[in-house]
Amino acid sequence: MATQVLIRAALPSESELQSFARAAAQLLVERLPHAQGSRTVNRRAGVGIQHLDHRDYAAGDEVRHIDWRQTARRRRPIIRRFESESVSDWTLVLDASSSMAVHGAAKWRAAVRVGAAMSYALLELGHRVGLLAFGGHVLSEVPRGRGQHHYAAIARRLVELQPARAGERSELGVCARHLHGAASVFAISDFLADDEMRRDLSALLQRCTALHALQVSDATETELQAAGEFDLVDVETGARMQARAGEDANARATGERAAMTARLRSFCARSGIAFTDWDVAQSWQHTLLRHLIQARSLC
Amino acid sequence: MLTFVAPVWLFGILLVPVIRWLHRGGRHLRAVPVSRLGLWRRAAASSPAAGERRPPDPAWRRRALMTALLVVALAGPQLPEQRTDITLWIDDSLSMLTREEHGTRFADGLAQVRTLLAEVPHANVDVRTLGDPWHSLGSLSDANIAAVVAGAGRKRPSAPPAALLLGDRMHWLLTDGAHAALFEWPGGSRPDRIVQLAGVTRNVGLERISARRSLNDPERYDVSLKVTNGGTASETRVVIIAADSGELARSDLRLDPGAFTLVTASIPASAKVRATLQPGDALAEDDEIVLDLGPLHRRRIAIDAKCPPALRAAVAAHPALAQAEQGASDVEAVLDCGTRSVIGGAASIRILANRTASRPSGPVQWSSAVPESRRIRLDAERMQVAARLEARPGDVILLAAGDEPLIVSRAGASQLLETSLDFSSEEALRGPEIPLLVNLMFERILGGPLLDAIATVDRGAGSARVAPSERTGASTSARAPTVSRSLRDWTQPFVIAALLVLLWELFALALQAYRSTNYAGAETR
Repeated sequence: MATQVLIRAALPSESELQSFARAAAQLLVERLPHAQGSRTVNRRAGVGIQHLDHRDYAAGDEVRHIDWRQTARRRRPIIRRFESESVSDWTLVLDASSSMAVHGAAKWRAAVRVGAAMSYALLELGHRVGLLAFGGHVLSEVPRGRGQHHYAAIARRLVELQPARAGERSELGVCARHLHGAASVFAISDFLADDEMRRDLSALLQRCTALHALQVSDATETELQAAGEFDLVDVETGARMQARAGEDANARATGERAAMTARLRSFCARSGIAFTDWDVAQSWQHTLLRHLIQARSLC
Repeated sequence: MLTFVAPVWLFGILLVPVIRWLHRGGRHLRAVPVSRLGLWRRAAASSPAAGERRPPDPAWRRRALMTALLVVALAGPQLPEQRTDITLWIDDSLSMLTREEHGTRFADGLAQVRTLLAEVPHANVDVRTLGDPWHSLGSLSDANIAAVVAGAGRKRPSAPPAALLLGDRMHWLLTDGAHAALFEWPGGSRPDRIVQLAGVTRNVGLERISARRSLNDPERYDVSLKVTNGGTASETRVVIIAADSGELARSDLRLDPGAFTLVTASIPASAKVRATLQPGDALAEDDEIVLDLGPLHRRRIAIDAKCPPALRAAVAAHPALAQAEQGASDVEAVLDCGTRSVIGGAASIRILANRTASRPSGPVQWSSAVPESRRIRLDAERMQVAARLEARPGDVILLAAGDEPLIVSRAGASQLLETSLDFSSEEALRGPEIPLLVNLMFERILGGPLLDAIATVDRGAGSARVAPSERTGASTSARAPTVSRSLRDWTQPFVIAALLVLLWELFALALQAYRSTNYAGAETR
C-alpha cells in the first residue's frame, strides 16, 4: 500500500504497517470481538469468489491465486484478493485534547501511530474504517471508507491534526452522536478526567457493537524535573494549584495515576470493554497485539 | 534633623501595608503545565482548608521600599548644613601679574587666600572677578584661577555692584591696591577681608598705542605711543618701535613717578607695529605692546578702463584706496563703467551711461539712509544724468532727483551700487563733488569709514600703576566668619535610590520570566 512521503515521517513506516497488519490479520479476522446486533458487511479481503483487488505476492499465499497476467505486466508476482464473506465497520476515536500535548506531546504522537496502524490493518482486511478526533467537541471526522486511498485520507488527517497546547478539554461523550450504524469503536485516549471518562465510555458502548479502550500514558507526566514550589496549571481547565515538587510528590502523582487506571480497568472489565493501558515507552506493535489477544479472550 | 518641604506626601507611607496586603497570595511561582491537576492533589503545597497562611511574596519588600523612597522624595527632604558662604572678589587688573619675590601677585595672593580659607569651617567659595563681576566662576579651582590669570588686564576692573553684595555672604577681596577705585564699594560697604599684596613699587608701562595714515603720504603711518611711569620712583627707559621689517625708531625717556609722555613716529605701511620698553621691569606684560595695522591698509580697487578720468583721479587721490593692476583678481571692490566684468564676491559700483546726459528732472535730495553728517552738498546746476535708474523691491535709494533715483544700493548677496550720475561732464569736474561721492559710495559698499581710520590698543589709564594707593593702606580688615545654617535638598538622592530599586525590580522580573520560559521549554521538549 503506497503512502505519501509527506506523512511517512510522522507515521509508522510502510514496512512496519505491513508487518503489523500481517500479525494482526488473524486476530482481526478469525474472531472479531462483537456484541449483540453486529452485522455482516461485504467487501472484506479474505476467502470468497468476488474479486476485490490485487497485491504483491507474499510467502504463504495460495499459488493458485496468482494473477499471471498482472504478474507479466508488472514483472513481479501479483495475487488476486477476493472479498471476504464477512467484514465490519470500525471507528477510531482519537483524543486530541490538550492533555495529550503536554511533555512534548509524546502521548499524542504515540496515539497517532497506533491509530494509523489500526486503520491500516483494518483496511487491509477490507473493513470500513472511520476516524473521529475529539476534544471539547468533535474536532475532525473522516467518514468510513475502505481501500488504499482511504488509508491515505486517514493518514493525512492524522498528520494534520495538532492538539491545542491549552484549553481543549476531553469530552469523549460528544463522539456518541457521530456513531451511525453498527460499528466497532477503538478509543485511544489518556482518559484523564474526573471519572476517567467512564460515563462517556458507557454512552459509546450503547452506540457500537464492540468497544476497545487503549489508555495512553506517559511516565514523565507524573515526574516534575525540578524541586521546590510551583504553580501547577491544568492545561485543559486552566486551574492552578501550588504544589511542592519532589520525589514524594512524584510518587503520589504516580500512585494517583495508577489508581485511576485501576478504576478504569475495573469498569471496563465489568462493561465488556477491551481495555489496555499503554505506556508510550513500550512498543506500540506489542501493545496492540497484546490488546487484540486480550480482546479475543474477552469476546 | 531631617525636615520636609511638603510633609503631606509622607502619608503615602501608608501604601506600604497596602502593598504587603496585595502580596498576601504568596510568592509568584513558576507555572508548570500538567495534563491533569487531580494527579497532584496530594502534593499541594498547602491546604487552604487547614487554614495555613502562606507568607506574602517577598517581592513586596522591594516594591514597598521603592514606594517609600518615592514618597520621601516627593515630600522634599532637607538636611541642615553648616556652611560659610564667601564671595572671593579678585582684582584682575594687569598689575596683578607683577612679579614679586616668590611669584606673581596672583599666585602669592591666592596662596594666602587658600591658607585663610583653610581656617574657615565649611567654606563655600564663589569666585568672581572685578573685571566681570556678574559672571560667577564657581569654586576656587586651578582651572578657574588659570582663566582669571589668562584674562587679566583685558577688562577694566571696578567695584562690585551693590546687587551682588549680599549680606548673608562674606566678601573677600584679593587685590594689590594699585587702584583706589576698587575700594569704593557701593553703599559704604567694605570687604570683610582684604588680601593685599604689593611689594614692588616701580614700573613703567606702555598704556596705549595708536596709528593713522599719514596725511602727507598714504603709504606711511603716524604712530603715537603713551608711556606711563606707574611706580614711585623716577625711571629711565628706551622705547623701541619696530615692524616686520625691523626696528623703525628708538627714543630715550625719563619719567617722574606718575608722569606719562607721548612718543610719536612715522613708519612705513606694514601689517603690525610693535613697541618695546627696555630695560624690562617686574610687570613684563606692559613692557611691550603690539598694534595690528590691518584696518589702515589701502583697499585695492579694480577700475574699468572706460571710467571717466575724473573718477580715476578721485580714486587715485583717495588715501584709503589703491588702484589694482589690470586683470588682478584679489581686489576688494570694482568700479565698473560698462565693460568690467564682475569679480566673484567683490563689491561693485556700476556707473550707468546709456543716453545723452541731461539735467536732473527735479531737486536733488539725499535719502534718510545716508546719515546727515555724511551727506554732500550737491550743486544741481553742475550735475547731469546719463542713464535711467529703476529701483527694485529691496533696493535702497541713496540719492534721488525728484522721483528719479540717482544712486541705488541694490539688494542681493553681494554689495552692488548703481548710479546714473554723469562723471564726465565738464561742469562736474569743476567742483569737489566727485571725490566726495566716490568716497561715499566706496564707504557704502565696503561697509565702513575710509577716511580718518585710527587703529589703537588702549590698556586704560592707570594700567601701569603697581604701587598701592595711599587710601588703601589701612584698609585690611577681617570680620569674624559667620557660619550660616542652610538646608540641603536631598530629593535627588532619594529619587536615585528609588530608580535603583526599580532597576532591581525590573531585573528580578526579567529573571523570573527567563526562568519560566526555560522551564516551559524544557517541559515541552
